[in-house]
Amino acid sequence: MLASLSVTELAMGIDLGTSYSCVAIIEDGVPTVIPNEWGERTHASVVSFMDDGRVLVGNDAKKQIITNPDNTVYSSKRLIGRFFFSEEVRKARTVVPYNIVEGPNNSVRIRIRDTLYSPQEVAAIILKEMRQIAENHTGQTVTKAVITVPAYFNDNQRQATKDAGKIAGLEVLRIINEPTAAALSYGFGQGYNQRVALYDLGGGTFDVSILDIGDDVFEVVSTAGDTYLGGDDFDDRIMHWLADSFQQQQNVDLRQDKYALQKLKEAAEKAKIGLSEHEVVQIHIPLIYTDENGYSLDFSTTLSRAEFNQMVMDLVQRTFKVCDEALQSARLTANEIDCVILVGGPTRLPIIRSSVRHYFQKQPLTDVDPDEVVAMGAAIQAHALLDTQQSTYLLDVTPLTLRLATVGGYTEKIIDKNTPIPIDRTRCFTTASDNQEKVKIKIFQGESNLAKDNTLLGEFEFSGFKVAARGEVTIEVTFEIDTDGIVNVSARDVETGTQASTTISLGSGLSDHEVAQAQQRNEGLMVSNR
Amino acid sequence: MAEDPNVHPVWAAETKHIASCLDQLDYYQVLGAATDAPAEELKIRYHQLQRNYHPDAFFTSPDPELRDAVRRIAKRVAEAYVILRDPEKRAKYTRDIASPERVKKLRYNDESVREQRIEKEQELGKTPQGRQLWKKAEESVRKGDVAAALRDLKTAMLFEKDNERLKARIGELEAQVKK
Repeated sequence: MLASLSVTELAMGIDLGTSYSCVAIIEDGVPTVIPNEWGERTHASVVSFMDDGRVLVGNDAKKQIITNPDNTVYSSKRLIGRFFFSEEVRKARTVVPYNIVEGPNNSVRIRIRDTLYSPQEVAAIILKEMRQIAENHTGQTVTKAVITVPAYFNDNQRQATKDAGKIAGLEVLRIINEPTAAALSYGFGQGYNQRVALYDLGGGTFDVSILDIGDDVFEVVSTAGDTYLGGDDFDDRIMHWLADSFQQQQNVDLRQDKYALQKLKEAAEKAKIGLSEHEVVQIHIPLIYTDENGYSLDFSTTLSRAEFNQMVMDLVQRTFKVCDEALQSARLTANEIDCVILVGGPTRLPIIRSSVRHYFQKQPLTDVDPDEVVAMGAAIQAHALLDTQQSTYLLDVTPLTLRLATVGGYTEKIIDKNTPIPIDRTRCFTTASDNQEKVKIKIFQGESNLAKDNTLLGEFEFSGFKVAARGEVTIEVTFEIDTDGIVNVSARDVETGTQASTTISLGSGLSDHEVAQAQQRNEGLMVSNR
Repeated sequence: MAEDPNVHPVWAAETKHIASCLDQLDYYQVLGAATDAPAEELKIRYHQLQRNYHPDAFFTSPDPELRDAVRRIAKRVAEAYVILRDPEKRAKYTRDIASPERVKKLRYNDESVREQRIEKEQELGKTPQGRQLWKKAEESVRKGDVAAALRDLKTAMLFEKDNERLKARIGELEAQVKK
């Protein structure tokens, strides 16, 4: 018996969310969410750097958003793996009170007092906290983890998430897609075939995946998503509505005051959650504004479900455009789906539930808590990877088309979206000038023929092949998308068979050196337990 | 070399052998299906093979060669399935591997993509003018005006003297008119 206990090492599943994170392990064969010492099962993805050097993580840190706004980082998942000039980062800079600055190679950094942190480092602090929760609960060291990402995350975002794991001192067994993890939690495959749609509305992202589940095989047929749409956008609608009402009442625009804006945001989230259970909610924010005479104003109003539904109707509609796209890719219609699973806290909203039911003509399944279903699936996958008695097989796909830059700002396809992974594709290149020593290629992900409308993954430079007259050297480049959905590029000289050396430039990611440095800094952090 | 205690040594040797000669197999041989196998059967074969060669099942295997072999097989099985599940690509691929060019066409490569694009473009004319006229002609056929269609197709012939498909189409319509 003792021997069998040590067969499988402990490995955790971590749902690293935009707003909340969650950690689970397999306990006595059952996927189990681990609560922290205070019994909290989900933890705000917020990190607060205190004046005395302590670092708060989770729901405590969230309370600091208002009192310590400059040094409290939230929604950092929206920044991870993005370029500084991207739309998302530009938007974040206008909304969040903390300081987002430009780092090397157009990357993003967060300035806390005199220190610059990458979004990967912030994520690492959250991951470390998840690890701590798992270790407190099990009394064992836990270093192995499966971390989930939105299905529509690109290579840069996946790589950055993996780096965050490394910085936190974790061995990242696998990066898996959130909707796919959720499907695993539902424990399908008991001998019958099902076609399942996962409707995953998180805090900052929206994904739809369509799976064919037969016995023990989970085949993702298609996936589509919008990394700019999530529950936060619903909060923002309420927040702006509140600001407008206040402006009408008092002729003061609270949006000019980041402190007041945070209070509105907090009230908006609370109101949204309240509307899942009640037809009408009261909103009361004390001392939201102090005028020039030092007179403080409270703000009270009510919001009905009907008013809210009208405010967010267009956001809800946008999710179904994404559903259309996923179905189209799978060559299916909504009524060919056997069942629909809801994932993510915002799917508790009655407007979402009724709209999903209407779209698929089916009652969606909500048996597993939508806030916990992803972490539980990640734990199942982590366990399966270490267990030699494999019981389920995941066949996932790449969400975006991999492209190669050609002349004149155009690109051509290398690997289509919705291709199963792992997969590889080989292409040959010849040198264009005499005695050429290097070959450079630029690769992108996205659905446009124009390079500028896609996301740049990096520029690869190959050297170390035979130097000869132009056209005489042929270099075979292999593009591989691995089981994490991460792109690897390698090249070899066809004639001599020697592997060309590859250097990546223009990437948004961290170098090995930067990861090691961040790792050191992460180890030295004083993470406080309240 | 570290052997995997959870795998039969004969199976491990066989798997490494298969991985080493993937480049000599066509996609049907990779999937173990006949060239006329129905789409559902290809899917079943795909699932079966992924069960046998899924990289996750060998994640902790102490034998790096076996891990590598399984990964290469899994990638090729996925590639075969992706091409063969697309009816147009499958039709082209099946023709290609029966042709004298077979050895060069075992993997659906850039050349295959290019050829398929050209074939598709030539379906209705090889020149922009020809295509436009042909399209108009087919529209006329649908409306029942075969005479107008023939006029347009013959004009298209001025642009595309050697288009055999176009000639054949004119022949078909002329035969219809005679009846």
